[in-house]
Amino acid sequence: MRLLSLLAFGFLIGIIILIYNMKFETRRLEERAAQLERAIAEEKDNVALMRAEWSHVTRPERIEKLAREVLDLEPAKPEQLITNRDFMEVLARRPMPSAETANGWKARDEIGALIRNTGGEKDAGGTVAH
Amino acid sequence: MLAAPWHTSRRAGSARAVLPPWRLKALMLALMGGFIAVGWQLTALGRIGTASSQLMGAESQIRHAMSRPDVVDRHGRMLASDINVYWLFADPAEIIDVDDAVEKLSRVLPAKDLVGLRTKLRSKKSRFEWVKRGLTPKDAARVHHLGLPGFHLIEERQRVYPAGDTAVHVLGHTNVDNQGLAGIEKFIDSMPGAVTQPQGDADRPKLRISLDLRVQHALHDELIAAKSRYTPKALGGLVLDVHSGEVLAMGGLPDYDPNRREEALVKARRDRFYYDAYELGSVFKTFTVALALEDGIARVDDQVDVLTPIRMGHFILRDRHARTQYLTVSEVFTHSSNTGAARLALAAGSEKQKAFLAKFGLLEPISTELGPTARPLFPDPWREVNTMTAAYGHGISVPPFAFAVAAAALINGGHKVEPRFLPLKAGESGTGERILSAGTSAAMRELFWKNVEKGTGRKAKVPGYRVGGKTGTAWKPAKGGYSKDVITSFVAGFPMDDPQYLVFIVIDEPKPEKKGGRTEAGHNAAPTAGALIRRIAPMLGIAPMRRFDEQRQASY
Repeated sequence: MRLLSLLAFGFLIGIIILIYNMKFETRRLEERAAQLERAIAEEKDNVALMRAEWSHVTRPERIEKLAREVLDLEPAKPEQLITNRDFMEVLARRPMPSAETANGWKARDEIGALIRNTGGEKDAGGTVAH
Repeated sequence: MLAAPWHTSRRAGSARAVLPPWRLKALMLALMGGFIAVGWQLTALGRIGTASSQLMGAESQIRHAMSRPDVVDRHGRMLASDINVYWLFADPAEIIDVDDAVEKLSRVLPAKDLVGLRTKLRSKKSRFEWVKRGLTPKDAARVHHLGLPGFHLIEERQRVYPAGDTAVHVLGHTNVDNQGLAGIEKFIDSMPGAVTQPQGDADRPKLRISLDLRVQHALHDELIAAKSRYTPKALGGLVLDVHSGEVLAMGGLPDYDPNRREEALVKARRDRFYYDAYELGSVFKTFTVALALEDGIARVDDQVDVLTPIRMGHFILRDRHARTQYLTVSEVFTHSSNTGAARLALAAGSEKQKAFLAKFGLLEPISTELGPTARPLFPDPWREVNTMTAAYGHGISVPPFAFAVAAAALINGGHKVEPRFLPLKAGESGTGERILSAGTSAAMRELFWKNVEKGTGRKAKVPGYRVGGKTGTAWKPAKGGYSKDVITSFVAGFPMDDPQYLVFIVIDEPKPEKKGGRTEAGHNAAPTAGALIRRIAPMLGIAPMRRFDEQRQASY
């Protein structure tokens, strides 16, 4: 009987320690969770802010101005447009370009060169021959 | 011994009451059960959601109430959003050295924000002064790092419009408390159900509207160009899907930047295209001719007397430009003859004309997500003389928006158009009831097209596209009659063999481009519409004509 009491007492102490530990751990985790939740909310706001900023810098008005001034482009004329089907026909009539002619095109690709020179795109080549 | 009393009592009372073993066991069981229950409850309490996260939930709800959904265009490009900004205020009583504080602030904030700040902060009576509202998080951090005592920052939601004034007449704007005051912003407040809830963490609630930002920009840009060419008092335009009724672009000048909402107070900057009614003039002949064709009063090739003046009381209507006695109905349209149109309308009669215009929704305000348009103004009772003037668009004022919507039904095959600023949901067709026979609609398309090929709308021609349209030049009503100033307009559809989109441009008081030049619609509204169509047709996925392609292919 005494042994049982002692065992029970020891068990009790053990449980108390365990529970206290768990409580402390829980509180720590709660704080951490709250911190993370705050960080998430802040990050969400940041994302919203950046989205708004992205939309602002990519607004058509500004892109058009940049395209005109920096890239020397202008709105596509109707005669510059071709439907997919017609494009396929034109392709079929032409011989498949060899590697050299493809490179030749790349050299004459003025818009691509402009974009490369303006910076940003490092590797714009390699897609012409497809 | 400590335990003695217990032992003795037990021994002493052993004769009186020996607990039967089952009762002891029952007691132990009960106690054990109790402890297990308590233990269980403790663990259970530890497992359910913590109190702190409930608090967070409540907090985010408060913030949610103040925040508004994003507005995006039909392709998901952002038109309006909420961002966090900071408001900086000061408690003058707490400030130790005003000069030093202002000096330090001037290093991080632009000087114009600090005008008069010193005097404000010196007043010892005040405990609260605004320094600046709407600081960006970056500026707020800089101010915070100055570590000035007495200066405080609070976080606030602010509405931003990344595209500036481009779509303002559709979007509207909000007040300081982030409540919608006009346009789609007002609609959001009245119909929260229309908003799509966020999918995923980085998403915000959204409202997708029918506008296409690129088309809207093209319209805005062409209006700016037209404004500098013709220096009008005001001008506006619209791009409408003639089948679904979706508005792809709408706007006018002068407008305002919704990011600076105080500009919206200037009355001249409001949306006239939707909320004002105008006498639109000859564009109304489209309805007169459609009525004559639909009612069987005339066929396209029938002759109409345009030279003989029409007398009605004191009113004499004559066509000074008429060179021949007769024009065909088709020519009445392309030459825009007032006497011809008046004769056709008189032949149909007042009742039929009024009923016809009512059927197209021109005599009642129409309602969309933006609220009701301006109320059309027309004479009541509708006499014969009114029939005559209404035939060429005078004596009746309608909002340009309503006219465009009505005209769409003339060329889309004869179906009533229900205009909308929200995109159609999957499965919705948007096609309304038939209000015009398919044959008349086809004839109208032909007339529209002819008018751009060789009529008054020649300057709206776009190489590679079949554009059709009708010009309108109206004298503006003035005290006791009409003034010399005009309102010009051009209603156009494209591609004319199967119209998909309608463009309507209205210019209020255009001046001639060159001195002594002309101010008729064919010289300002028509070329503006043409330039716009040229830009937006490729964006809307309308390919140039095949025949045109073949010509070009020869040059390969």
